[in-house]
Amino acid sequence: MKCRLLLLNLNVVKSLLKKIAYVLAILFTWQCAYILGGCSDLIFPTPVQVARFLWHACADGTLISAIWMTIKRLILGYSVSVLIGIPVGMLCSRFYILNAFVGKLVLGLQTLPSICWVPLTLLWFGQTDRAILFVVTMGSLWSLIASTESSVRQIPSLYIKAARTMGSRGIDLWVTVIFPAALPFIITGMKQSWAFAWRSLMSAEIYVSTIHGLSVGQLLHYGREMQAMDQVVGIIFVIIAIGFIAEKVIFANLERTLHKRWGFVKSAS
Amino acid sequence: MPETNVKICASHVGKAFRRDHRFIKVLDDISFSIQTGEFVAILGPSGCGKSTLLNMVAGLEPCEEGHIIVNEYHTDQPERHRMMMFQEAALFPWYNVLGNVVYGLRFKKGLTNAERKTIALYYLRMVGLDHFERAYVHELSGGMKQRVALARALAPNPQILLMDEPFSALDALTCEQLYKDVQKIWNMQHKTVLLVTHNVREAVVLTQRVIVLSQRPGKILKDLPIQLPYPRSVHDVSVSALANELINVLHEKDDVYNYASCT
Repeated sequence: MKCRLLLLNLNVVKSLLKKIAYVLAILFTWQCAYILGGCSDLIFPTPVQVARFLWHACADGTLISAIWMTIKRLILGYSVSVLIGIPVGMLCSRFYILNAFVGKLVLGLQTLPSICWVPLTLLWFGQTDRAILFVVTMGSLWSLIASTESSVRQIPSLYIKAARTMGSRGIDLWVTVIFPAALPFIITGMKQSWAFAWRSLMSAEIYVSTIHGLSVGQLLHYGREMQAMDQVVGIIFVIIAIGFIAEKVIFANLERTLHKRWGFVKSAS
Repeated sequence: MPETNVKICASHVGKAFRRDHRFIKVLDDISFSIQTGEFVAILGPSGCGKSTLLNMVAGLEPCEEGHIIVNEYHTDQPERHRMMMFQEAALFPWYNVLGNVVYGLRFKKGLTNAERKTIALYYLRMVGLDHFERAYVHELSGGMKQRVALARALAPNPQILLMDEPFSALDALTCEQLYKDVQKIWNMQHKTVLLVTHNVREAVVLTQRVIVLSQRPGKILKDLPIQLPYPRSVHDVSVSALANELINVLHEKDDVYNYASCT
């Protein structure tokens, strides 16, 4: 037991060291490219400059409050998408007429890059938080409706058959069987639409500068305006990090847990 | 036999599916009646329409030709006095074992949640799964899943149990154990059971009467009472003899049909 624990620890340490080595290699290549390329650091900052920017931005609190502002918007806008998208998607899978109508609308609006909503939303809402939330919701809602609709159609009919023999009908059947049976597929759809929401939010924050409070997208925008390349690159790293944590850590784990419990993968793995 | 004791009565039942603008007849002029408390098997090769027949008895599929009467009523809707088991356990992975068994009890009126739980635990003990009530579906073996499905079907105390090849996906050893347990439970409760299977020995081991269907379109070839004393085992000589007799019935009609999987 002790031996196995030690072995486990060794493996963890090994993979951690590997990851650190990868990061160091990337930073090294970056520094080399800076030295060999001969660009001015106004155009191409060094890793040290970016690190220094991130350190100062964290220390004076701007970065933390900007991240908080951005995440708050993301959660708010995305929640609206989820609250509308999942019920509408489920209704679409049930009612053919609704699907024929909403389906076409969804297909059309889904292909529209979310940044195209910016001019419209600026005229409707002005430079406000609501404008940003609108873009986020429009960016993620349509894909969520489409994926929820197809999720419900994917569930094994055996579940419904079994539930019907046990007396479940109508709303009860939807709440106790159809929705939970579709949940793993719905989560996959949610992951995808979250990615859309995140991309939409970044476009919106760059183009819609609100008066109160700084956000991550705005920091990026100001970085460009002030010719502060270290800030631009630093913020890009922050954006990557937030996206990575949400997608690969939160959603991927949720997806894996559900798929395992719903029996889509063998639990041995 | 007194007429009032008839639980399930099928008369001149037929069914056709439409495929590529053609009608394919799957069931042809099926008539039988099953007494209250009788354990009957419908035996037939794959694709003979026996599952379709069971679905019609369950009320999951409409009966277009002829009619099926259960408890003196036509079957056009699933009802809770007829519970069903499927080839796959069809347990809901979003509930644990206890939750699955309680599911069928939710619509029983006049029960408190605590009573539902007590009933569910009683049936889980009956199928040999006490202490597993907190387990999740993906943690169970195939045999255990079918045991939970059996407990779930029995818990609402239905008058009729419909079994759609519930043992066909299990290994031989698990099957033997389940045959023993099903016999024991049937002897305790004497419910009306209709079992659909393509396994000849399974039919002989479990039931009191075997209705043999032909290949598509399914017709009744033979209605054979099995008068062996319970408990039976697949290894009994008398069981083998009857199984052979039934295999011969199936082979007479169709020599080409390979029945190797059923011996």
